[in-house]
Amino acid sequence: MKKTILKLDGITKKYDQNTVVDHISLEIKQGEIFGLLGPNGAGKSTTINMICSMIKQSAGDISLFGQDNRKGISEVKHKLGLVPQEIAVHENLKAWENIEFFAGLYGIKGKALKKAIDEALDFVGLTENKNGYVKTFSGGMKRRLNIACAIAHHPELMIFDEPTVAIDPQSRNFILEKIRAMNRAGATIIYTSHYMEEVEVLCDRIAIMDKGKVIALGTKEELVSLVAPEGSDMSLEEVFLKLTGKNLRDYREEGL
Amino acid sequence: MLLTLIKNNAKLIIRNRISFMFMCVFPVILILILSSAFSSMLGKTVELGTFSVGYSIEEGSNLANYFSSFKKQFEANGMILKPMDQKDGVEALLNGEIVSYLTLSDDKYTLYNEEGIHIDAMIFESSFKGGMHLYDGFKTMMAYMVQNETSYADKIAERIKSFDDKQQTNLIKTERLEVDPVPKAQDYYGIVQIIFIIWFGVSSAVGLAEAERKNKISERIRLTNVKPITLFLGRFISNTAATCLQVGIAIGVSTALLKVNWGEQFLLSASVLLLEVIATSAFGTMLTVMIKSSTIINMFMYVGAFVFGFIGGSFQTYMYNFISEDIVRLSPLYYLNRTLIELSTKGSSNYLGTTLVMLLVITISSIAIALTSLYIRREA
Repeated sequence: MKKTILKLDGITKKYDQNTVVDHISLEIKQGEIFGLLGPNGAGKSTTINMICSMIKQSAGDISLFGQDNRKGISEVKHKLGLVPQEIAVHENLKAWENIEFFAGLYGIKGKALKKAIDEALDFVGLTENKNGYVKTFSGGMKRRLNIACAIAHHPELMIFDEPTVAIDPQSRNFILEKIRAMNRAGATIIYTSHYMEEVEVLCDRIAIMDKGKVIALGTKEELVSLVAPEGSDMSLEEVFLKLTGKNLRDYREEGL
Repeated sequence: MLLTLIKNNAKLIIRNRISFMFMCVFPVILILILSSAFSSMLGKTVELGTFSVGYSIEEGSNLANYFSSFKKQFEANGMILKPMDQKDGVEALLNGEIVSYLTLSDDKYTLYNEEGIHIDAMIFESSFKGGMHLYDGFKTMMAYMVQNETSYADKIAERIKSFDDKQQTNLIKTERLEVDPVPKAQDYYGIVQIIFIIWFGVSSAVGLAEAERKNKISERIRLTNVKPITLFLGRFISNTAATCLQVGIAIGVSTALLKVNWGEQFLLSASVLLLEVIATSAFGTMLTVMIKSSTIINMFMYVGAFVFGFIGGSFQTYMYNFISEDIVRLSPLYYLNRTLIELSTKGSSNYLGTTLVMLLVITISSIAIALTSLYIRREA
């Protein structure tokens, strides 16, 4: 039986009277690719922020690698990697310098650091561009570097927050392939996206959030069975729209 | 971890070309403009060395008997009188070997000068005329006595003949007061503008903090176990190193091109400057921790440096003498400028101790405030 990497137990986040995340409970097992879907303002980014201890939950418990986050997760931070939605790299550093910077912050140094840089660059296909300044990169290249900076320290749990926004299909396909490769190598993945087809093909299990709550959780087949007869070939997008409705969402959420 | 931060932050600062060039080139431009504009005000005193004057005395003139004492007095004041005939004298004057040529007889003297205003010649002319007035007065008194009181005249003449050097004391005593030497304009502005520009070095740390916030890098950093003190030191040390490099270039260029003279105590001056860089970096890095807006920080530092630079650092004895001394002494640049100018001109400074203490206080208090704020924020 696979061990639980992450456990959320009734976590809630309130800003004044506004409940942004409302009693979410879920478990993520080692080695799975877990999708987190939801319309804008559903609470996905806030949930990720709480998992990463960037913000404190108003109520509930979060256990990360068996560590209660209220007591601090400094001992397990090195096991966690985050690819933020925004491209968080230094434009005036070269590709390898960025990876060196972020990997160095995890205490990696010397030959191990050089090896980590080379592996990360190779993984995202930027070895030939390692000496290029990030400001000269295309959007797809920057996204790939964004990933490289998060994986260089070999985290066990990777969180991807909409990693394929505004990039070309080739880059997107490349990234999805690499995420699968990471998972095959043993990493647990949490993946959030608005692109249903990505989540559909990538994720083992999916949680659909709306208005701060998890309104559905399970494999794609399990989610389809919630809204359609057994055996239906309804797409995840159709399931999503059925569960969340078609109205526009203009909520604001605390982002990463 | 710290080394990684310092290395990469320093790269980011140095690769900001506009900011880098501003710190290196701007002070040199300021030195050039201000030293040219204010050169006459700082060049009020003129130092003269010894100079030579040619002379000849008409044969048989009584003046020859007394001229040796004239010569001694002039030589004691740096004016060397050399005997030469008129032809040689005029030639020497035209060649610039002497500043004036003098011909003397019992009833007249003629002073030959070059056309135009020459300070040496003017000084000699003024001194000689003063001496000749005394001589004429004495001659007149002696003539009167000879005419009316022969015994007194004989006695006075005998007495004069027996005078030796020890008895020839001046009636007017000269006390030479020690004053602080005044620097030349390019030295003065060459030094104070470097002191001034160091306060702008904080813009590098501000740029770093702004880039981290804008690119969400600070959030990424929070995912690691980097301690607040490490983050602070990473920014502080890299800013200090980069500012040292920029200021070093500015000093090198201004010294080479504009011949700015830092005096014989350059190592001590360099140490004071280093401490100033450290203090300003600590202060600026503290501000980046306390204040999120880079615009506010930059405005604060630039306006502050500008105001304190004027009231405490410029030629304020005439420009801002309406500002009370108590306010002027609040400016750190007041002490820094005076320390380094005095070190350059005198080799020592009464302000050195105060300056060192002030810079240490700024450094330590800035670091303490920043770290306290970071730890409180982290706990919250």
